[in-house]
Amino acid sequence: MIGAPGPGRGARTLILGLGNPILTDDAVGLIVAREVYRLLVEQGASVDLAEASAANLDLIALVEGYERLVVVDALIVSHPKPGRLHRLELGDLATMPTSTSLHGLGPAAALELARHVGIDVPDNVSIYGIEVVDPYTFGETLTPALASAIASLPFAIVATESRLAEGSRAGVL
Amino acid sequence: MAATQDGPTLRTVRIDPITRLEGHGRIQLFLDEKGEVADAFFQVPELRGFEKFCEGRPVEELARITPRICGVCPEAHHIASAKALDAVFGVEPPPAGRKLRELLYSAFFAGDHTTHFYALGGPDFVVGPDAPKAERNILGVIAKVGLDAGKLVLRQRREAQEVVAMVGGKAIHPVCGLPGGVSKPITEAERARIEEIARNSLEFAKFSLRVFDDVVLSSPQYVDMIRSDAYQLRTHYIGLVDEKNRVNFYDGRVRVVDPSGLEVVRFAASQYAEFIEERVEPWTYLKFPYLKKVGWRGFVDGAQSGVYRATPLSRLNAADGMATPLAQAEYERMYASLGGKPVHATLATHWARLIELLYAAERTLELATDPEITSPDIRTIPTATPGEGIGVVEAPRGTLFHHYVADERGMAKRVNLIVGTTNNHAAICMSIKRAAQGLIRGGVLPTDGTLNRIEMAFRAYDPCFGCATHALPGEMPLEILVYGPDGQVRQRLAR
Repeated sequence: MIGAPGPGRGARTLILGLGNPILTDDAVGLIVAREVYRLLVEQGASVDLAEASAANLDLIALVEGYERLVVVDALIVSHPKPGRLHRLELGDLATMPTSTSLHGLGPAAALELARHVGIDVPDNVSIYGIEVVDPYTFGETLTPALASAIASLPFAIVATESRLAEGSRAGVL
Repeated sequence: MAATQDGPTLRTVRIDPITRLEGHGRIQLFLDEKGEVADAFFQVPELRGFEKFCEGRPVEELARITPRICGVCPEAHHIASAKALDAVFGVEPPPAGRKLRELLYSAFFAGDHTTHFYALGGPDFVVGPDAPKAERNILGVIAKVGLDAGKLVLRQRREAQEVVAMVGGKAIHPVCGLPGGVSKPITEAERARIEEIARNSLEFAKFSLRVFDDVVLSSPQYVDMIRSDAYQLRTHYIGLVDEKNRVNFYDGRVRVVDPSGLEVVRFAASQYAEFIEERVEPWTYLKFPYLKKVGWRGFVDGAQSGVYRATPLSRLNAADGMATPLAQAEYERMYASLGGKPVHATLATHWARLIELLYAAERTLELATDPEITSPDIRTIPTATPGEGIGVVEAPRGTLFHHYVADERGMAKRVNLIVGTTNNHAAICMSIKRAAQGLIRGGVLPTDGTLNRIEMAFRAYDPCFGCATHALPGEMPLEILVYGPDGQVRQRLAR
């Protein structure tokens, strides 16, 4: 089912890619988010795409007015399997060690703050973390292991989100 | 790490990762057999290959590449880069071009300092250093100060980005800076809106100083804490000053004062390599800049040590005053309250930061009402063969140098940056050690509150090593490990 345009926006759902485009694997969130957006648009869904390099207080202005938020980001783990996909909810982020790494305020706290002061921010939030190998070296291409492991990720994200949307009251993507 | 080789007689207390810090940091405290702090180390992972990444690209692209280093202060890199490019191409921007850059920069500065006070540094004071970690955040601040404060903070951030977008062409990652000026003028309608935003920002800055008065300065406990030995460091200070030695964020000379406040030197950005040297230590990739002519004497303070600081407080210490009236009045009040210049109390940096917020707001308003600001004469077109250039600005976290060398075709051959926080790297390590030595009592396992008080010593610097990846961290443990003299973990604290 296609969502009607949200208030002041062209869509109800925002796909947000997080990452640094010149930091090797850190760009993966941007790359996959673009593909997720493209697939959803092909399906006729009402979605917007945004990109950011940090999810701090300025995140609020970006997501205001949307009902659903889908974040795609790189994920650092100690023994990465490049391309392994995790789906997290805001509650998971709050307990992660550096959920506060985003200059003082993780996305969970930023959205809570926004709601606290009466700003309309998405209630449905999915965060997809993709395990990466090297987000520390400047470069414009992904490491080969990651590059060869991401083709299926946008499909997995779209399938998961479609299933979730059907189960939710909003029923739209 | 070398220190771990000192063996089982040392116990380790690790605060890892540091809460509310950009990127991943690690503090390690080494306790001796009596449980006293023997040493302290502060480590961050460094990004690799930036210089190589830049080499061979058209040098003017660096104004768009360097802001990508960091998700927090791209505006500072953009403006420093534009100034370095002026020098590379041997051009001076016309007055309106220069003023538009400073206008963007002042608005950005006010937004950035706002985040630090309300989200990073302030919660320790407003909510309290011993409050549970879950409450020591901006939501805790709002619970104390009121819901309206939360709305004002968000408006301040949003409007700062609005100015950056109007002047810079794009929020967060502005694209206006070019060698010789900026790419577009502003309209009268935009100017009027910026003036309105500047007035809001000014009221917000005054409000923030009142909050600081009510919460911090009216509390004898906090004033004692600010003045306590655990948070003092007698270092040199540096900061950009104008021709009257007043604080300036956009341009001027770098002024250096010694720990007694006397001027050591006043130099142009192009001379920085004569005065600043970078030291390498075996236990971290991050360098330690120091004053070359004073020399490196190790991690010690005092007049004989080349360790310097470049923070909001350092800028005030290195200057003779502020260039705007309200900020000047606050400047005088701060030094009168804290016993004269210079102030060595690291925690007073929070006060200095709010004075800078006030200055940034006043300066934004001055520039927004400058008759020249809407002039279409915004750029001097470069005609000279490109060469070498150095640009400097005061970034919120310290003096920021961009140094480029281009070949005759304008391709980057060498790129060197000294970023804000790096200036303070040695001082941050020393501040942590001093606070740990002052706060951890031998034989007593530190409490969460004690460890937070140690973190406060470096949080005052608004450290941002987040010229680093922002990716989500996964399995990294958030814990404090206390090792017994036998090298075994004696206590594990989840944070």
